[in-house]
Parts: sequence; structure tokens; C-alpha cells
Amino acid sequence: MVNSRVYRKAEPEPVDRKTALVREEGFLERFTGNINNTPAIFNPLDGKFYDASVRNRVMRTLDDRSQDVKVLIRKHAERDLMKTYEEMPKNPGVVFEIWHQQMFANRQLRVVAAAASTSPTEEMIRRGSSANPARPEDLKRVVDLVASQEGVFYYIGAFSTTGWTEPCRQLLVGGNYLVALSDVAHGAWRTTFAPDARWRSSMRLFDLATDEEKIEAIRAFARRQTFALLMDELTEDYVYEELGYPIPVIREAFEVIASEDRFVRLETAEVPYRLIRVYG
Amino acid sequence: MTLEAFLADRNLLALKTNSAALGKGLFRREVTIPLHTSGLVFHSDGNLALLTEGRKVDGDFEIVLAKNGTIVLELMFPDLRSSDSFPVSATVRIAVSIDTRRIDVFKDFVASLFTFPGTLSTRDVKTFLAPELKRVLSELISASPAEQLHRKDLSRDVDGRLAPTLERLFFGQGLRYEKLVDSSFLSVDFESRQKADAQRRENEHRLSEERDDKERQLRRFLGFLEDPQVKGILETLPDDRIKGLILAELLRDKNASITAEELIRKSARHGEEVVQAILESLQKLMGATPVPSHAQVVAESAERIFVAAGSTVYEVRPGEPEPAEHRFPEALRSVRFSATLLGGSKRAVYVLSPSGQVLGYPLPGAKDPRGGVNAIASGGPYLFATHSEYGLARWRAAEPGAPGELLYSDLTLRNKTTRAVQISGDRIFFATGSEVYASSLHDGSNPVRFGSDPPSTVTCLVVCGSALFAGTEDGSIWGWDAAEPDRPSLVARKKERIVTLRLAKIGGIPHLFYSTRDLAVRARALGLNLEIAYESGGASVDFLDAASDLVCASDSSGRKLLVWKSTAPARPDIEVDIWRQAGKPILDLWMKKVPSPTS
Repeated sequence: MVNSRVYRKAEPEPVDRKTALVREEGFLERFTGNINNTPAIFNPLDGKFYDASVRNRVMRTLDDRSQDVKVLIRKHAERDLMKTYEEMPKNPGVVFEIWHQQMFANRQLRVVAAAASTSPTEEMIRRGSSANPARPEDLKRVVDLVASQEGVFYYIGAFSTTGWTEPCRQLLVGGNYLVALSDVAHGAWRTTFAPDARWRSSMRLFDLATDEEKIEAIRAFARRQTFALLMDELTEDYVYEELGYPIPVIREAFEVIASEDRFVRLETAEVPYRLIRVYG
Repeated sequence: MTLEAFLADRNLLALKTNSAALGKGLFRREVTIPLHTSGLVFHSDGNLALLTEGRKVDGDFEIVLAKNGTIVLELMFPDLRSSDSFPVSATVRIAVSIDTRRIDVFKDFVASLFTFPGTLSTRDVKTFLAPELKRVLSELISASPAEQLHRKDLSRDVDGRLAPTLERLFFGQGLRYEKLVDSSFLSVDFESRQKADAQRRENEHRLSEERDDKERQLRRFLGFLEDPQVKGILETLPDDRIKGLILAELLRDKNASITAEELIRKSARHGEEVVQAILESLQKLMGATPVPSHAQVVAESAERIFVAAGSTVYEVRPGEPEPAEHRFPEALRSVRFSATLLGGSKRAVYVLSPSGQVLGYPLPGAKDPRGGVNAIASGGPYLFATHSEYGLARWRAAEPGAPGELLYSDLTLRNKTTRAVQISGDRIFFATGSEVYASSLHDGSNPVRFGSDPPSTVTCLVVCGSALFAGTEDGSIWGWDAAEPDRPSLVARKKERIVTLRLAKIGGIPHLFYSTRDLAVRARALGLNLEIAYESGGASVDFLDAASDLVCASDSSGRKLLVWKSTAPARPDIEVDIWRQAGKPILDLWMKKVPSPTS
């Protein structure tokens, strides 16, 4: 079956300050949770796994960019400065440094897993919300903030409360770093990884949703795609493109949807799998 | 600075210290964040932590402890100016707090206001606040006139301006503006101006009222003259000159009142009889206060002034610097002169005989009274005295040493006070409680009662011929015609009790002198609503006596005898310091008077 989508993608909806703040806090919380559940992290530079337990781990928070938020609030806001600040996303970051000590040598920083959030601060202060996705320079700022040392490998999770522009997806790989781009699409956490063999198991650090959450997110997404369903275009590729979830998870979600709704059937005769509407 | 000292000092808001200074334990330094404080902990590995009260922290660290809750800061700006250039002092009290709820904001506080080690006090915060606060208040004050600022509640305006300004100022500094507690604005210069304006308006109002009064008085007198009845009274006057004088006074300019000075001047020109006749005629016209007849009040000159202080009577002779002294066996409460010197003590009356011998007349019984004899009078063969705890006592003058006889005990015993015995002609007058009684000196028949309404305890009494005046504790002066005891007329009403009453003729006009512990002796021209004040110069006056040429009084402290010339009431002519000689206060005084040569 030929994929012949003719409808336009929906424009991104504006994200207000409070929603952005909730997303930002949720991102860091989930990332920190993933780190805590990670026993070891692979360092592509020397091809070794390093113990990431608390004993070898140092956590630093990056809240310097909250000063920029304050400066902009002072510049643009007339009243309720503190209230605005409390509502605003603060562009925070968190860095987990994995240190390792070899016999008769000093402790050395080997690998870093970091996550940082970014938002269109000025527009959110002035208008209360923004639909502008983050640009390559925003991503570069995040990378520069974290990846500062040579000889250390960095896994960087960059989160934008309003999504990312397409060019950003071309900037995810560096000599000593890999970037995972995260955002919220259709109400669900989404992460884009550069296809790179160095990720190995470290992708899980930035996988922000559980499989159950993903299935639920796909179900919610599919419910809203009435037109695509009628046109037989609700394919696994389409869902992957929109939500970024692995194909096996999407297929599992499709099976659940098809089993719950007698008017929907999972077509598996050819790849990509798709959900189709049945009548009678 | 110890943690305890920091917590106990209400002026200290934050403390920066480290684990070495705070920690307990030999190997492990552990600190518990005290109640009502929050701590921002800087760990040695570069990490930060915000700890609330009761939480524990250990290891090597620096910590900034900040007190939670609001603090009230009072700032005063004395040198602001209103739009009309009055200096205005502004005081504001604002409630602020250190924002310790968020780690990034707490960090702001440390970074911006607390970059030094040790403590941060309210003074530091005030210093930080003052310039911006002054700017805001200055703008507010310079836009308004002092009248709209002085002692006005402008809290809403002040808060309206302060809130956004301080919010902006505190933003990013870790402080939070809670509210304006209060604000006040004071302009001393404006207040002085206001008082002066009020005084001026009051003066203008008073002058206007006085002018209106005079106009009304004039119209009233002119109305009187048109009245056929008044015309008839005027026709009864014996002399055309008197009529002329009255008419001249009534019609003169806009002022229909007759002043004391004018009457004195007229008396010099026309003789006292004429003036007295005028006054009596006016009295009949007005028909109120009893006035003793011209013949009954004679002009007298003061020859001696006797002052009782301790057990000594000082005899002050006008024109002589040093007073003579007369010593009595015990402390005196009263002094009189009637042919000879009389002194009243706690339990007796003493008479200083011409030979210099002191004769005692004891009160009956063996009481130990608290007060003493308050008045003495001598008439015929008798001596009389009043004592509030005994009543009215009488002795035969020829029988010194014999105990006195108490008269009218049925009247006096039921009252707490019996005072002011006096003899006029062949009648004896005394006051007990709120009533005055008059009785024959010889037959002791039923006394005539003079009552007032409302009743108040009589404090003093003066009798002259057919007129009788009594002062009371409630500040009233009542007058009676002796022939009409049931018709009291109110001569004057004051706020304070009347201490002494005397009658004397000044410039041919009978004046009723009284004192009320006021700053002056007052002399009211009887028959006219006119009063002269003999000013003491700042001291309140107590006992007094008056003659046609001199007026004397003691000050309320009893230290000084003040003597005025009757024609110069502005200030005392002589002041005699009795205390310097006696070491005791003046308790009574009396003038020995002789008929004036011009009388």
C-alpha cells in the first residue's frame, strides 16, 4: 500500500509559562530517575563501562541561566515580577559526572551524562506563551554549557519546552558527545537520537516514558487521527515520525487498539503496519 | 558570633558561618537547622542545598542561616519637602522577609546582600532600602501640599507607590516586600502655621463677637431708654447731672458699657456720690445682683497686713521693708484684727492684749481636731469663732481661759463644715454646710437661713450692710439682700472653688474681690458686669484681702505675700517672702483698715 498523505501537519500549539515549567521539571525528574536506575555508563572513547553508582557519581545543578530569566523579567515585566519568575521555566540543567580511579592513579572524570532544558524565555515573559521551537543556536548553547573538557565523553539530553526546529536534528553528534533531543509532542514525551553506534545502552538515559506510557500515548494519538485512519494512513512509520517511539512499542500499541475497537483492524500484510477502518 | 547570640538578637537577620564553627562531634560535624530559620549550605564539592528548620547537615560546608518570617523595618526621612515648600518628616514601617522558599532566590539573597562574612542586620537592609524608599516618598510628598500630608493617613497612596517599586528592587535580591505596616507624615512648620492661623481666626471671631455684643448692648440700652418705665425711673433720679451721665454713657459711640476706668475718672470729676447713684440706678435698671448701698461700703485704707504662718503673725506695714512678728503659743490657722490681734489655732482662740500678753480662749471638750479655727469675730462682750469640727463657739471676752460655748449645734453638727463667722451691725453671720445663717448678736433667737440652689458647701462669706455674698466649693458666688433670704442671685460662676471673698470700694465703686486659686485676684464691680484682674505674674493666689488703696493675697504655695496698688492691677507692687522668715506657709491673712481720708 502506498503512503500518500495529502493532509498538512498541524501547527504547533503555543506553550504557556506554567506548562513549560511543568515540562521542564518533569524532564529533569525523569532524567534523574533514569540515571539512578543506570548501573554503568559506556565511554566510547576508551570502550569501557564505568560504574555509575552514587559512590562514583557527582551531581551538579546548572541554574546559572535563571539569572538570564531574571534579567529579562526585569527588562520586560512591569509588575508581578516574582510571580512571573515563579511561573517561568528557568532553563535549568543537571550534570552527573562519573569519576573513576585506577590503581595508583588519581580519580579521573571519564564520562558525563547531562540534561538541560531550554525555552523561548523572552517571548514567554512578554506574551505569556510561545510556539517557537528551539533553534540550532539554542542547542549549541546547551552543548557548550555541558561539554567543556576533552578526553571526557558527554551524553547530553537537550529538552525544549516548545520543540525543536528541523535543522537541530543535524547537530546531534560530536567528537566527544552525543545529543538526545527531547520535547513533548501530542502530550507525550518524545526523544530523537542521532543514529550513532556509540549510544549503545546509553539511549535509555533519555528515554523519558515507560512502555505503558508510550502505549497510552499512542492510543491517545491514534484517537485524534481520525482522518489518517479513514485514509488508511495511520501507519507505524507515521506514529514513529510523530512520537519517536520504537516500532515494536508502536506495534504493541496498535494491537491493543485493534483489540479494543471492532471497527479498527491492524493490517500486517505489508510493512509498514497500519491501522485501518473496517465497516460492518 | 555564636549561633545562640544570633538567634537571640532580633536585629540580626542572617548569619554566615561554617561547619567548623558550628559542628558537634569528634569526627563528624553535624548541625541541625534551628527553629524559624532556613539554611543555604555550600558543600565543599560545590553543591548547594536548601535546608529547612529541623533538618540536619554534616561534613565540611559553609552555611548561611536566615531567619524566617517577616521583619518590620522603620525608616524615617526628616528632610523632604511638600509642594508648598514645607519641610515634611516621613516615617514608614514596612514588613519584609528573606525569601528562603526557593534555593535560587535564597542564593540571590546571599549573592547580592550578604557577600561578607559574619551577620546581616536590619540596619544593612535599611541601608539597602533607604535610597529607593526616599525617592518614592520624595516624589509623593513633593507632589502634594503640606495640608494634604500633615498627620494624614496616606497608607493607600504610599503602598500603591511602594509595592511596585520595592517589588522591582527586591526582585533578584532574595527579599520579599510583604506589606506597608503604616506611614506617617509630619510637618512641624505647617502645624505651627496652622496653629497661628487658628489663633488668628479665633481672635477675629472673638473680636467679631465682642463687636456684635456691644452692638446688641447698645440696641438694648437704647431700647431701655425708649421704654416708658425706664424713662420713669430716670425721672426719679435726683440730679440732672446723673441722668446726663447715664445718657452720655449709653449713647457714647458704639460702646454702651461703662468701664471701670471711666467710672473712676468720672468719680474723680463728679464725686463718688454721683457715680454711686449712677450704679444704683443701673442696678435697678438691670434688676439682678444685690448691691450694698453707698453708705454701707466705705472707702478704707490698709494700715497693716497681718499674715499667719506657723505660730507667728507677721505684721506688714506698707512702706516698711521688714515685717514685725507676733508670736503665739501654737500654730495658727486664722488671723483677724478687731481692736486687737486675734489668732485661731487648732483648739483655741488667742487674743494679743495691748500689753503684749496672749490670752487663750479654749474650745470646749477634749477633742483632737485635725483642722483649726477658720474665722474669728468680736462683737459686744463676745468673741466668736467657727471651726468645722466644733461648729460656732462663743466666749466672753472678759473671761479668758474659760472654755467656749457652742451655739446652734443642731445646725452645725449635721454638716462637715462651719466657716466664716462675721459680725455686721448687731447680727452674726456664719456658714455651715451649704447654708448661711444670720442671727441676732444678743438674743440668740432662731437664725435666718440663706440658701442657694443648687446647694454647695459654702467656703467663704462677706457681709456688708444689707448685702451678703457667699462663695461655694462648686465655684459659685451667691448674693442675697439681707431682707430677702429666700431670693439668692447668682453673682458669678467659676470652675474652681471660691477661696476668699472680700468687699472693698475702689474708685467709689463697691467691688467684690474673690480668688479661685487662679493666676489673679479678681474684683467684680457690683451692679455691673465688669471685672478687674490683679495679675500675680504667674503664681496662683489663695487667701486675699482688699482695701480701697491696696489689695493683698498669698500665693497658693503659701510662700509669698503679694500686694497690689488697687489702681495698678497689672502686677504686684510688692512681694514679701514670708517663707524665708517663717519657714512655714501662709495660712491666713487679714488687713487692718482705717477709713480713707477721702471717704
